Amino acid sequence: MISPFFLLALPVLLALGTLLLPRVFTGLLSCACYLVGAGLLIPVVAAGESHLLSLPWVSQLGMDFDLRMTPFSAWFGFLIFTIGAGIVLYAASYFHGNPRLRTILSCLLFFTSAMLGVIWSDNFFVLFLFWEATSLFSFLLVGFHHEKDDARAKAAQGLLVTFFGGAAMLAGFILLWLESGVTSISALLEMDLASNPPSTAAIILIMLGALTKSAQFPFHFWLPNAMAGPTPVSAFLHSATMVKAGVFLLATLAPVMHSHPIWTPVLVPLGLITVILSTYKGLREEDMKGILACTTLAALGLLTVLAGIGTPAALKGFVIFLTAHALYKAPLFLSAGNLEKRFGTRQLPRLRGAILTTPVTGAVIVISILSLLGLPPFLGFLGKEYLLKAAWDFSPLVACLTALAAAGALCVGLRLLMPLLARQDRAEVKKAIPVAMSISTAIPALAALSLIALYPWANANLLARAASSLSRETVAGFSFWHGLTPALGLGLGALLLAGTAHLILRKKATQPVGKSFFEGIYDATIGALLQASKKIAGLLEEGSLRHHLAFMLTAIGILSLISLQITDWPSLSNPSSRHSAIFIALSPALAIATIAAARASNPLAILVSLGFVGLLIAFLFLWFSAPDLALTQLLAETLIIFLMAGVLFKNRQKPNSKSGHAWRMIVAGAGGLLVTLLILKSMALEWDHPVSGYYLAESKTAAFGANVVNVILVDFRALDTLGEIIVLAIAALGANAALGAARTRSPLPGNSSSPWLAAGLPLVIGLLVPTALWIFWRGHNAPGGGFIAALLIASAIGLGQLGERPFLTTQRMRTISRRLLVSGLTIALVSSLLPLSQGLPYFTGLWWHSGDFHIGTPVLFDLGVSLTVIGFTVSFFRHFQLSRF
Amino acid sequence: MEILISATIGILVAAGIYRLLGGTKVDIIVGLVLISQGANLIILASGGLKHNAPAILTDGTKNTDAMADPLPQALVLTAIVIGFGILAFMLTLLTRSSAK
Repeated sequence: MISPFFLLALPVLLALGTLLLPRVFTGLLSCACYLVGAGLLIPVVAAGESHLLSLPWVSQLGMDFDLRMTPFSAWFGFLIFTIGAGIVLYAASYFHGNPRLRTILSCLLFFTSAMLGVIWSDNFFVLFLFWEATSLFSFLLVGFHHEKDDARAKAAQGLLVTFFGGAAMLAGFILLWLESGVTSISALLEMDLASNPPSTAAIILIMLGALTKSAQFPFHFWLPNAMAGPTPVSAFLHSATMVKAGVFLLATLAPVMHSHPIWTPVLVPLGLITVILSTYKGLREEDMKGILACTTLAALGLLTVLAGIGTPAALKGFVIFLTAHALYKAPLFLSAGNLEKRFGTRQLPRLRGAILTTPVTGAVIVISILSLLGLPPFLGFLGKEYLLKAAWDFSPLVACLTALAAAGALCVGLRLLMPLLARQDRAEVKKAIPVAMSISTAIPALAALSLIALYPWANANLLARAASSLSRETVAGFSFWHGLTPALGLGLGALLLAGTAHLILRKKATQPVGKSFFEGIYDATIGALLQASKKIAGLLEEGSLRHHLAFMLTAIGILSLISLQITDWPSLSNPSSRHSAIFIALSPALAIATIAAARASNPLAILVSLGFVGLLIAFLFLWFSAPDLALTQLLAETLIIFLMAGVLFKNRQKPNSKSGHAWRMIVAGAGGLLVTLLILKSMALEWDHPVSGYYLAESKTAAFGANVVNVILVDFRALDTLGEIIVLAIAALGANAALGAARTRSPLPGNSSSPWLAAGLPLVIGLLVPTALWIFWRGHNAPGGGFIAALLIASAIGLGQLGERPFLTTQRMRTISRRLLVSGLTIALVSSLLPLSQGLPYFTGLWWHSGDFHIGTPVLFDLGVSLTVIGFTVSFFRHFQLSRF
Repeated sequence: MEILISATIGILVAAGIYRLLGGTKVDIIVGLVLISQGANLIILASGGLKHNAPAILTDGTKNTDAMADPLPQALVLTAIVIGFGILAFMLTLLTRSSAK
């Protein structure tokens, strides 16, 4: 058997392929692959065995990628592939010359995979994911003409209704899981569902999901609206596949759920109401696609009735009805598109006699409508027959009601067929139908015809197997003649009734139906939600950044107030406060510098005060046993001042207004106090540091480095560092993009050249560069390392730019920074990938030893980090040219 | 000492917030610099503060418990460099938005 996983992935692979292939081939190739896929599924159906396949995923959450391939789901897959083959070929021709052909084709292909996922998933949650994916792709496809307001609104309507149902269904699945402990359909089918409140609630929620998806009353309004989508989309999604997902789920669950007291009494009436409402709407519709949408609604209603009855006989009828409907509805939709191409309209009164002038499309329409009307020898006859038979066996009353409702649907079918056959006032032909469109319209119809031609074989090997697997009892097959049964009588009666009704209603002028009451409820709900969110947004964002920030900070503050209660106050008699003399002096100095920075308004004052803050914090780091931090901080501060000087002196902004001084003070004071309290509280928490303990213990033996901080950066947590340098590289590229025209900027004012600078610079730079190399080398065992060395080199380059003759032009800096960024990232990546060549995991350190001398890939990684940081800094020097002071 | 370091961080954050609410672009940059300095100190403080015990192993090291916690230090080191990167990027945005 072909792996279902492969078939599931096939459309996605094709979608990726369409990006590479010339546009001409995409439709043909997808069509051919779909036909192959359909062909591969036939032996699976014919074998008549069910398979469960599992791919472990998130087992802890009960989520494994389980597929359940029964003859019925394989048969449904066959139908999807067959109809899909016609659709993709049709779409390629329909959108010929449209620049977004690839978009719609790949959406159709992705949708196919999602749909196959829905019918083949065994796990509830995987099923849910695919289910939502079909809704999402349906949204994208219906809204394909997104420049039209109408298309967007209707696409959103379908999406919201089906997402609402999907969410309900997920809740139902979770309830079911909690109640019965099963997370898969196959397991659920093996058990008896207790009739208690939780399982009743679960059933209602799952039904809600299925009914929204299949557009059953009271959610029936979205399906005719979804006809705003392009024709191939309507043909595929809203007739043959997506809307069937709901009734498919109902039918799959019916064997275990139909005995529940709520199942049949809910589903059968809802299905019948949907049929009647769709008839009412269909008899007033003039648009061919609109009429087809109504007959689809009716068919879905009848399928819901069958799933609602849920007996093996009903499920048997379900299989043949679904097959017949899928194979006649898709060609009808595609024909509507063909007629629109040929006659320039889809309005029935202007398509009079259309069939007579379009041989291929005309034949397809006639065959399909005859099947729709349930005439022998077409599959639709079998569908109608077995529907009424199952209904009669269940209850004669339901059978009569079903026959009445079906008569309405047949009347809509006649209303569609008759004008197309009219001999008087024929419509004028405008254009020819492209050959590819005619052929692709015929593909599903040909499939239906070959099923009839090969009926004895197909009946025994395909239809009987699919029906047996769905109804869970051995079914011999379907037969056209059962003798004179009530079902036959009801079917004939329905047809006669429909014919009579058609003759009576034919001459009546009709008015299209307005919005249904339930669509009004939908509109009102969405409108109220939009209004409310606009009001809330208006309250929170009134346009001022200060107020917005203040609001957010206050919210964060209030939330963190809660965490103040978690711990006690710390004991303040900490023994380590012995050597705190220097610290006690440092703190007030830092406080003064900070306050100065808060109040400074001219550029020089800002730079000096910020420089002091950074410097004093570097001392704090040193005091608290963090020499690496102190070095990094010192250098980063130097460079920050360097860069800020370039910007601040050029951007002379108006001094900040003193307005709102008081409330700023209040918010700031409260924030500062809160942070102080939170830190004090957090210090009272005593916890052990198993991670740090591990690093301290293993640093020397596993990573051959005595400086644990550096070892963490380049070895233990090297992946974090890799992410960090990638961020730096992206920031440099982003700044390049933002300041692309930086070269034209005027030089800084106050050009000065000092003899001290000229004499001192070479000396300082001459000292800095070897120091940086030394610091890089010692980093693994003593304070230092790649970051610090890089910042030192960057400072040297920055100093070099200060002199009268800067040694790097802007253009050269641009080249150098780019090369450094690329080579740095490459070296870092190579050092992380090297262990893979030895069969070791990603980022394992590889070491070469020579006595006490160790060298390994972490050193190489550190080099990469270093180069990236230099490249990053140089790229910013370029933007804030300080050269001509 | 705990009160002193907490108050210092509190002042840094308060000054940062005050500056942030100033409204001009330079205010926002200075405010963020101050807050990120405060945040770095918070991370360092969360690992416990130890004087004169850097996490540098020597051959005779026995008691690693007495050493400063290296993990927050590594985090802060990364944070300093990233903070530097963000600042540089914000400065470009500032230049860009004021260049007409």
